[in-house]
Amino acid sequence: MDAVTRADLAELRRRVRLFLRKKLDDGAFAPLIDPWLTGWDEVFSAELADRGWVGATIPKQYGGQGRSYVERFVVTEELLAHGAPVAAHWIADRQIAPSLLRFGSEDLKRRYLPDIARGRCFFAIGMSEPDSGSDLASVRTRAVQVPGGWNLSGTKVWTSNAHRAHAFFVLARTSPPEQSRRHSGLSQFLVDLRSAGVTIRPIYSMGGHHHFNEVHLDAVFVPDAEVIGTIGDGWRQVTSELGFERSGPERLMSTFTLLTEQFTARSGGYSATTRGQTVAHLAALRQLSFGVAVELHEQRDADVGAALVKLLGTKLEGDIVEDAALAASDIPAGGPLGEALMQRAGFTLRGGASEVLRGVVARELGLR
Amino acid sequence: MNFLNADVDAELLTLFREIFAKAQHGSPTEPNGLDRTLWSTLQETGLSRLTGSEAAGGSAGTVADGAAMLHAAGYSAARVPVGEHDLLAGWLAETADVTISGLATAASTDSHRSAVIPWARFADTAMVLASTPGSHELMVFDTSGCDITAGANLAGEPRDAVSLPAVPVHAVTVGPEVADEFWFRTALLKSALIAGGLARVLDMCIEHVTTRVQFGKPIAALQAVQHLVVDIAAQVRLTEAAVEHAARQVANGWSAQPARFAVATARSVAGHAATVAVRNGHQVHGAIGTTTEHRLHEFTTRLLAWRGEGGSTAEWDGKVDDLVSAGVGVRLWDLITEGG
Repeated sequence: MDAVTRADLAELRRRVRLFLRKKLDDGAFAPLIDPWLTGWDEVFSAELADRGWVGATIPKQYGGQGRSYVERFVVTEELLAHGAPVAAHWIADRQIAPSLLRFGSEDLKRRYLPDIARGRCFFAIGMSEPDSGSDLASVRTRAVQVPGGWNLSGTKVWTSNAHRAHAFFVLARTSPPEQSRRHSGLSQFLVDLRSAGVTIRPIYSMGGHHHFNEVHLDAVFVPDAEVIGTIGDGWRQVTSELGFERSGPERLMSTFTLLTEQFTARSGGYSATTRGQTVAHLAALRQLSFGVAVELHEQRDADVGAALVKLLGTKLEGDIVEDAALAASDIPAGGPLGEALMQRAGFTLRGGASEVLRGVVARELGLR
Repeated sequence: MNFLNADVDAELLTLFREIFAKAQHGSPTEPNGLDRTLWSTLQETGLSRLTGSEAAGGSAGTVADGAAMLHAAGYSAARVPVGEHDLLAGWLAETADVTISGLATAASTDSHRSAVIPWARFADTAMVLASTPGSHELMVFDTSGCDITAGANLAGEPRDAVSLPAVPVHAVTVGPEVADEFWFRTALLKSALIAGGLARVLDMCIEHVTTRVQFGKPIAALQAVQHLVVDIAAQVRLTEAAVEHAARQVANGWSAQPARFAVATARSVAGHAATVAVRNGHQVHGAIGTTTEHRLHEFTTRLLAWRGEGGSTAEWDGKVDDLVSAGVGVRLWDLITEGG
């Protein structure tokens, strides 16, 4: 790790922590389960941005802080550890800004990055479709070239917070796949969710919440200027960012507040050895996750580490819920544990199902 | 996978790998005896006292260096008590300001009359930390004056029952912090060995499943088999990350809470990782892996033995819990994030 020292990180952590503890004391938010999906709070996001903690890795020329990926790691893990409502800016901060920086045109960077860094521009992701889950290469949303741009038609699903976001990235097919390369012919577009032809339908989760949506695109016009990167290069663009998406603190911290409760409530929760084992597992996993962050920071290949963090981390998030549930009776709906039980099933699915991740690691080990 | 790549010099890692790659299988007559050739090499290269201070004749390596060496030892199932000699006995000798000669081993006991001492029958010196209520005494024995009954752990490694002479060569009273550090040093020693053993089981599994043909293809082609191996790989990386972090945390002393937490964490994780590696490792190897004809058992039995030495894995789970419970509220998160 260069440029950023451990002392710098400790100081940054101290400032973020101080801010969050004050917010908690002021009652500005109640600690949430799965806060990066369920905690939509635009005021809070803007406040974080004002402190330079949203879009921190965006270069200063585009309105960001020009900070490193490990600094972002520290900020985000503090936010999650305190259960802060970070969903509004999460996708823009984690995925959209880095993608725009890497693949976006100068025009797109100037138009979107400053508002992302200000915590005022929110994004969703349009990858999955009704018939394309783990097998993303099978997407059927089509982009047809028209004068000045493209017409997109198709249906995206599990589009978290599309009903609140300003825009989303859409993976669409621009030409038929070549025989031997099914990942060819895919492209990425930036689509304004208020465009004509966009219909957003809520999908309610089993806990009764609305964060998922089905987004129907009916000949939605997207100008050439809003193509991300290169036409036909969509698959490479999407997969090259997976390390960032899979290895971050949100893959192990989604239920952290439930674990801290086991130490504060003293309500006859799980046994001391189970609790100790869980804490140790989490602490080690956090080191593994931090190690991957450092690898990404140094621009080294971290795909296996990232897949393992997500594989182990999302399982552990669920185990924390399970241990609490096994030690509880008469679990009320709407409480933290009840919420966690409802959210849990998604942990090991979103961002790459565990079965798929095992396949990724198996390939890297030379097993397939 | 490049264990401890951030903290340990690459040339040193290469040296560890090369030296321990020459570790010998046990001979038919003495399957679990000392690998004297390897021990001589370690002495000649200064690795036998890797973490000792230069004043005490050591090589002044860091604990991270020591952990990386133990990883290599675990990976090779090396029949040398290098951890006991260096991290434990060597440290005790420096702490008590006594000079030791030859191969030294160390153990703790709650009696002044007897102790189970690893490798005692091959050692010249035994450092025994006797803890009785309210008092801790460090005793140094010449093993030629001890009555030793050979014993073994699950893997056949020497764990000898020793009757201690009434008068040690040296004896000093030490504080409770020495007895405490002994436990944490033992925990890191075992964790690093386990990390190496886990990595070896993983490599053996990869080798086996990609060469063993059933149903007309290598069994690695079967997804169910792939997943068993991947789950071992996950535990290897997890344990290595925990050991690496713990070794870094103790660089400035073993008594601070974050250092203790990191070591206890590594020990807990290593113990549970063994569960996955041993069970899945044997599962993918099939019947041959359960025999003495195949080397798998040398590693799986060591993993099972090591995770129960210097306290059970459950005790270390409990210690992690104690360290968190000793604080309040956000203490848990403080401990997890201390030191980067």
